[in-house]
Amino acid sequence: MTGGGFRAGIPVGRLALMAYVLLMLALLAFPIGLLVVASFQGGMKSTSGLDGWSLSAYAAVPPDYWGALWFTVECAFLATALVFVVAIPAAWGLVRGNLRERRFVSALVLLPDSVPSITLGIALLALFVPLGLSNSFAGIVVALTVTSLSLALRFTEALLEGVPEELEQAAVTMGASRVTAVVTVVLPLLAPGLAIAALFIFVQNLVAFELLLFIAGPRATPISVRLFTDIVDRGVLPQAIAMSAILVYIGIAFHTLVAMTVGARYLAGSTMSRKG
Amino acid sequence: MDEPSEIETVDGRAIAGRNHRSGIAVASQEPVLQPADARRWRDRHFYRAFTLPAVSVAVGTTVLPLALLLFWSLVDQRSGEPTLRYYVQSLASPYFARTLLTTIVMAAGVTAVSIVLALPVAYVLARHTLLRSVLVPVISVPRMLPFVVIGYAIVLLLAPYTGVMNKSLIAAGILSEPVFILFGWPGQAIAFGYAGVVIAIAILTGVFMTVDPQLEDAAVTLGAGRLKAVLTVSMPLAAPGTVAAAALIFSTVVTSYAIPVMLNSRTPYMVSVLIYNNLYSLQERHLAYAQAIIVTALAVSVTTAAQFFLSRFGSRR
Amino acid sequence: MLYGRLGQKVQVRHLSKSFGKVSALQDLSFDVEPGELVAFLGPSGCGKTTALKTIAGLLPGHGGEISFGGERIDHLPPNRRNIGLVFQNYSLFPHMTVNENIGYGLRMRRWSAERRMARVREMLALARLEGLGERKPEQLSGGQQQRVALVRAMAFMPDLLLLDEPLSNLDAGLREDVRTDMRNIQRRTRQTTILVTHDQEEALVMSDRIVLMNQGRVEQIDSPEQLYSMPATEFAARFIGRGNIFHGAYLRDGDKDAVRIEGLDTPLPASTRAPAVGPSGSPVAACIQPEQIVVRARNDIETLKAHWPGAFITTGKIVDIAFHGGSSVLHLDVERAGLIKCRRPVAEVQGLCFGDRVVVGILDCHLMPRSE
Repeated sequence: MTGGGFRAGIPVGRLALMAYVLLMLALLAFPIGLLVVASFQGGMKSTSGLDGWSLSAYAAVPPDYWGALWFTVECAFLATALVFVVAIPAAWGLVRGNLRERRFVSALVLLPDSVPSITLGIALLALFVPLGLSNSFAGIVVALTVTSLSLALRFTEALLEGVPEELEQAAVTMGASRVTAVVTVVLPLLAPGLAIAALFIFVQNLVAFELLLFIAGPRATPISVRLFTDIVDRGVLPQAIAMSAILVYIGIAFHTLVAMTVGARYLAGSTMSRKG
Repeated sequence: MDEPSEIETVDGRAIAGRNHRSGIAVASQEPVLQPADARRWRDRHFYRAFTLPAVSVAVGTTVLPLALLLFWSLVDQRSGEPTLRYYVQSLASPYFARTLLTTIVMAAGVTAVSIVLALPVAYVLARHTLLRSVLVPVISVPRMLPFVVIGYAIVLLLAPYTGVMNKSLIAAGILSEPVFILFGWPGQAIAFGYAGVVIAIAILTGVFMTVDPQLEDAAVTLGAGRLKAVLTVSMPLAAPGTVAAAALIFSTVVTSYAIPVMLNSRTPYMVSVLIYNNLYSLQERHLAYAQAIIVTALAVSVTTAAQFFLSRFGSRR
Repeated sequence: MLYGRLGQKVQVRHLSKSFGKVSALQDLSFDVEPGELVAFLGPSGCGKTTALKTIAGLLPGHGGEISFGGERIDHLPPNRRNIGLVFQNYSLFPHMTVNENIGYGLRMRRWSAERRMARVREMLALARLEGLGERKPEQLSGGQQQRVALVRAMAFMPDLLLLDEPLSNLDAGLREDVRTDMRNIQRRTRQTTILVTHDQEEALVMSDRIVLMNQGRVEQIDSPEQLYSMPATEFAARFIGRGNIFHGAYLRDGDKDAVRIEGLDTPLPASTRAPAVGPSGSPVAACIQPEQIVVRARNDIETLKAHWPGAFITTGKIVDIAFHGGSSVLHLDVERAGLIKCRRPVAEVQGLCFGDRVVVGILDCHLMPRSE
């Protein structure tokens, strides 16, 4: 005697919905899969078959691509370190000092995010040219630092709100100065959260593109800009496809790392935005 | 008035003690005579000092350059005289106006289509934990790539002779020769749509995850069908997040530069290409500044309108 | 038809539900008469909420039958079962006003705007929420939200109303008032209702009948009075809060029942026993009400015997004595039987104090099958 069969008929609506979801996700995955497949076929000569698999495109990646990639990593790393040097004290001051201008500072720091990156890029270029900062390592690091400041500050503020002020007060009653208390008690507690935030910001810096287009130059070329100028000037090159595929692998590696440390839930739910 | 604040007003030192973290040491060194107000003032500046580096970075590298941009856009490039002619020239030019219009139409269309395409996917991902954990890389990996990589993928898909789309359409006998149109505005729309859908799914999944699924069950026990429950309960509750996602996609597309250039640099459909050309090819820097400010005003006003909507109707949640 | 319509008899037969291999509900059968309030009572995880959601249709794929007035409804989707459900956390729609919340079910049933408005007003009056119709749920107190949820589920005149732990989200102080309110509303409207609760007091006070559940199975279905005085199983006795439970062997002596408790020499007389008790000699649990135990000072044994002839007599020591208004509660350490709780009128135990050795008389007990 079995009742409760109200869904026993073919659930057309549900099946259609699931089919749609899987189709959409397949469509989104398709171009990236195509890129990876093409990278193993020496470019795009025979993208429709499994014949002609080779690593020739990877072998053809010129040293200056690797140089650009390494340059990007250096910039991203330094900018990530710098932004926390700036953001941690600011977050502490804003949270613990309960300052009136907290909202104003948040808005100020958020400005680079709310201005389109093309405008910020042009504006930074206008400023950097007379300062000799355009087309330089320092210029790119500064640009990355500005654009990730709001994210770093928001992350750190949220983390600090989670650490009871009483812990700092306890350290102070035991003779620590306020700064010592922060360094010895608060920072170690923030460390895991900060590491995750830093990972996010590092990835964001690594993939930054539209903004850097204006500041970059022959002496300071992040890999994304290099790939862009190559496709515009010389068309699709096999080695560029191989390098793009390598960036896909790096993206997958970061995804896996973040998914393992934070959980996939955060990745999907995160409203962390990225332009270009 | 609750108890703690009463204590504070009775004893001024209580306030200072609360705000002043090293209160014990200071209290023993300094006379109690010191007015609490002065100490609070000094205290605030102690904290304020820590925010200085962040504030100066923001001012030095955002406010200052933007101010310079605005200033120069109001100054004649050659004579150095103050002028409005770059704005007048831009807005009066049918070419600029048409490009701006195409850009807006493109951005609005991409936004609408992305949101509509993404809503069901985000809803399903938010409700199915297993599916979400398996399929989330499809959404998150593209966001961990420089957008130029997506551009390469789209080019491989759409390129006139070598692109997979054209090749398979020809192989299937649907086309006799490759269509270039895929490389024109439809190609750009596809590329923007790709980015838009990824952003929309990511944000909306998070939004739907904050909507209690039991509310839908409640609607169903009250007599609504499943679809009706989604439309009358979950969708309205997700509306603020949807508006935020739409605003983000719109402002991203309006000012996007790389995709139009990569997919077709000859015909500037998009206003950002125009700006780039003015800046580099034509050496009309101040004109480019003015046009950048016009586009910024457009993007910022859309975001602000969305924020206004959120503050107006977002409180419903 | 002021508040609703007189519902139909609800019959549930052999309801079962499992999640994967875990069986959450086994062979649940019961009736709810029109206008009756039946409580599902049991510890958390006993399957009572599963039963509720299965009846509401929110957990598809169950075994058994559910019918209203002889007509099966278990093939219907939840939105066509005409069952009102009040969720534990109320699940009020946060983006709708109180009026819109209450009118939602009517809108889904395509009532005209005027009828809807009239009905919503009627419901607001019933819930004593006049004038709050335009508020959002977040602007209401917990008790008010609870009443909105209640009348929202009643507005469309469901054949059956289900309440899932309706009081658990309220402050303890508020609970009793809301309980009275809800019971009054239910009585006035004669709304056929099933209430799920883990609180035995709530079930005893509010319901006409109680379905006591344990590990997905029914332990006992009875009126509150019957459940309290004649628990059918040891679990029922323990859950309903009847202390003093001893294990022993059932003894059938002519037409009299008794129990031989481990460690005690003479059998203890029992006036009642649950139907499921096996033949003479089978293991049983004996439940002794605190009121059925008497104490006297050591030297008073004769008056005790005279007063309660036939009482089972033993000795013990007072380990705790506490004054509870009209009565005193004593904890006795009874020789070879262990701790036992006893409740007597204050006057009767005057003069006894902590540490006293006393004579203990057990007047009666109730026998039930043991639970593991």
